[in-house]
Amino acid sequence: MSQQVLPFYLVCDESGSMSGAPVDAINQSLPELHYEIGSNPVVTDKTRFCLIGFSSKAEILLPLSDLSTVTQMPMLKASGGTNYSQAFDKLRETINNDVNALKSQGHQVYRPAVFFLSDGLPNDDWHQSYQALVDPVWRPHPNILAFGFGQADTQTIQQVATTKAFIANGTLGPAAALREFAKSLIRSIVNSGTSSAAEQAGGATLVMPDNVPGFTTIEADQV
Amino acid sequence: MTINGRVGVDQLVVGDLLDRGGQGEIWELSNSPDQVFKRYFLPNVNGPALEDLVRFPSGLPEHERSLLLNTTAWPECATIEGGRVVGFLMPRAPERFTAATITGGRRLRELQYLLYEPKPIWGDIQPADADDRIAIARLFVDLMAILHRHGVVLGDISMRNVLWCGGDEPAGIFVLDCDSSRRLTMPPVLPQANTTDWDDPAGKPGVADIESDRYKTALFVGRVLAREAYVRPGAELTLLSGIPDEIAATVVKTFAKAATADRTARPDIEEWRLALSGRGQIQLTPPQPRTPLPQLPMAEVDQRGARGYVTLRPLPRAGE
Repeated sequence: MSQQVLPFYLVCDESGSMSGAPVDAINQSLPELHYEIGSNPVVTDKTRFCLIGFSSKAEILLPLSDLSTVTQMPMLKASGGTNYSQAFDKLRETINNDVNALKSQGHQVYRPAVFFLSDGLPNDDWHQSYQALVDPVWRPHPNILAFGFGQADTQTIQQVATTKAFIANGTLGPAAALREFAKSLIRSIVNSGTSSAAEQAGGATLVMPDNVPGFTTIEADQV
Repeated sequence: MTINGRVGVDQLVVGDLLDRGGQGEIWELSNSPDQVFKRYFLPNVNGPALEDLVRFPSGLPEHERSLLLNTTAWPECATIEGGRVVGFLMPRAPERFTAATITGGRRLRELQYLLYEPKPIWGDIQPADADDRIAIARLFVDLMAILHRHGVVLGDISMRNVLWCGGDEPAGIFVLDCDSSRRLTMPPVLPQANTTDWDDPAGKPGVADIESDRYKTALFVGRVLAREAYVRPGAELTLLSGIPDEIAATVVKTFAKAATADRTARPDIEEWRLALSGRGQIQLTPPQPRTPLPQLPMAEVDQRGARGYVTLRPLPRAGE
């Protein structure tokens, strides 16, 4: 058992506007994500994966898991509005519990990585929940990569991201763009679990995607 | 067309992206299915060092060249764009080093599958038995012996850079990412990469040398024979039960020796070869140092040299 663990959270918008091709594309990508990561022993040993779906409320669909031991995952199902506060509150609470649990099992836990995917404008005032999530005083505050597509507002996605933001640029349809999103998530997890770098001191390092086909990379908003 | 170990990127028909690592991308070649193209995305490639690696096998004796080319994806020619080296072509891993996935594709049989308890999700990658593990370790040590004999460091040895086969196939290895190699007299092609958990704790970051290769050889042999992904010299090494006692005893001892604080005293490749040979070891008693003589007054040494002889008259016989 590895002592070092890097937790990944996929936080996925499943509001009503995601119905049809977008939700189908993500659901179809989940088996591939599970297989690519779960069948790679070093990666499963060093990473954990959690799936959270949110709309008017947020729900943990897959608790933080070693993917090699998972045999089924609940599907994303589109309905309801787009409430970011619910997503951020649930994420903060989940990360806090997960990090404490991993530490109590003797693991050294690296800063969690969040892949946040949304297609819409949030219909709530989410800033307070967001500030609590990224508060530097809270030790496990995560690195957030935000992906926007469809009607997503560029500035909102930039504000959510702490490291990098990606906006669908229309060169690919929503289903194809989301498949590329899933590929970049898989690659990021695999490369983070097996990273090799000249300057690396050891342990797992978050390897972020540089470019994702169908998306334009923009820098995260500096605060 | 390849001319003097070089080919222009514009001559390549690049197919699908196969993999993306820390320094470059691996692409299929539609017009050369047995080769793949590694294209660096780092700009500071040392072209002469890469071209020197391309030439390296041609200077080897036939049996060594054959072993090197059968067990590695050694760079075959440099790829040039705008007068600069931007990557290289190498042989594609033979089919026996891949396995079928449940999604209908193929995946590489990386060393990592020898380091963990098998799981159903691995599909048709069956764990190697003790005999295959010993054969895999011996093949790796034989390869390292050739490289070190000719002053070449392999560099980035890890659970993803070495492929293996066994079971129904004869045991085999196939080493990837050989562009991390360098001649001892040359700088590396790119800053030396290290893989997490496969680093030399006493080495200089970013520098691969003979000593770091020796340490990583200890990791390779110990981890493969113990099925342990993280064990290091200094920790107890518990080998799999099928490893014969005579090999287990010397491997455990040699592994422990690699923990020495003196990097230069780590077991060399010949010691590893001996450890895996299964031959018993004859323990020899090292000669005792001579007890120093007491400090006493010394007699004068006779330095007159050889004496001559005085010729004598013979004595008269009795009664004469």
